[in-house]
Amino acid sequence: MKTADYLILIFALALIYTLFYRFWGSGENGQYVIIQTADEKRQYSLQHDQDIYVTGPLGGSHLQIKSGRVRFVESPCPNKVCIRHGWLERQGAVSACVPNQVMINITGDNQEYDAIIF
Amino acid sequence: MMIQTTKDDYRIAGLAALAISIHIAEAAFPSPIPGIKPGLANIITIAALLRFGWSTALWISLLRVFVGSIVLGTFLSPTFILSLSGAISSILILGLAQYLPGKGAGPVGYSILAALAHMAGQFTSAWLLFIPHPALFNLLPVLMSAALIFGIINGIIVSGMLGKRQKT
Repeated sequence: MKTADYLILIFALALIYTLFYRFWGSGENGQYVIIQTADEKRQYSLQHDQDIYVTGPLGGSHLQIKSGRVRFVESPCPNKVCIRHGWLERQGAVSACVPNQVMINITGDNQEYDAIIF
Repeated sequence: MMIQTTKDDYRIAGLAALAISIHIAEAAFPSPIPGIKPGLANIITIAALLRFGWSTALWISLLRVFVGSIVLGTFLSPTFILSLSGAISSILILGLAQYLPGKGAGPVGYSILAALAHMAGQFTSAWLLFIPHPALFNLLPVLMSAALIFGIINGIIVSGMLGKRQKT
C-alpha cells in the first residue's frame, strides 16, 4: 500500500461517513399537521402541545400533539390501525383512520414528495 | 488490404475477452440488492491499468460494456446506460488518479476509486434519467459502502495477481 492508497481509503471513508450523515441522519421533522375529516381540513402547528377532538361518521377521534409529534389516541374504528401507527413526526408522514374518515398528514416549510409517477 | 494489428491490439483483445467473460459470469448470479454487485471485471481493468497504462484500461472497460451488453441482450437498455456511465466515470477517475502524488496509487487505491466512481456515475445517471426521486438518495450511503467494500476486495485480488506474476 502506497501513501496514495491510504489517502484514497481515508477519502472514501470520509465520503461514506458524510453520505450516511447527510441522508440517514435525522430526516426533516415537520412543522405542521393537517387534519382532514369528512367535512373539514385544518392545519395545526406541531410546536404547541394540545389535544384535538374531531368527529367523523363513527364518532369522535382523539388526536394528541406533543413535542413536535402527533398521534391518534382514541378512535371509534374497529381495527385501531390509526392508533397502532403511533407517533408521526417526519415531513410527509401520513396516517389515517379510514372508517372514521380522519386523515393526518405532516408537512413542513419545504415539502417533500410522497411519490412521483410518470 | 490487411489491417495491421499490433501487439497491443492482441493484448487488449485478450484482456477484454477475459473481462467480458467475468462480466457475463457475474451477471448470472442474482444480486441481493439491485445495483450491488462485486464488479469483478474491474479486476482486469485495474491490472491492465497498472501493467500497461491507462489507454489499455480504457479500451478494456469500454469493450467490456459494449460487448458484454450485446451478449447479455441489454444493449441500449437502461442497464446498458447505467453500466456505460459507471464505466466512463470510473475510467476518467482512474485517468486523473495517475497524477496523484507519489506517481499514482497502488492496486487497492485504484480499485477503490474505480468502484466509488462507477457507483457514483451509475447513481447519477439513474437519478437524472430514470428515477428523479429524492428518496433514491437514501440508498446512496449503502450503495457507496458496498462499492468501497468490493473495491477493497478487488484491489487485494489485483495486488495478489500482479505480485504472483512478477515473481514468476
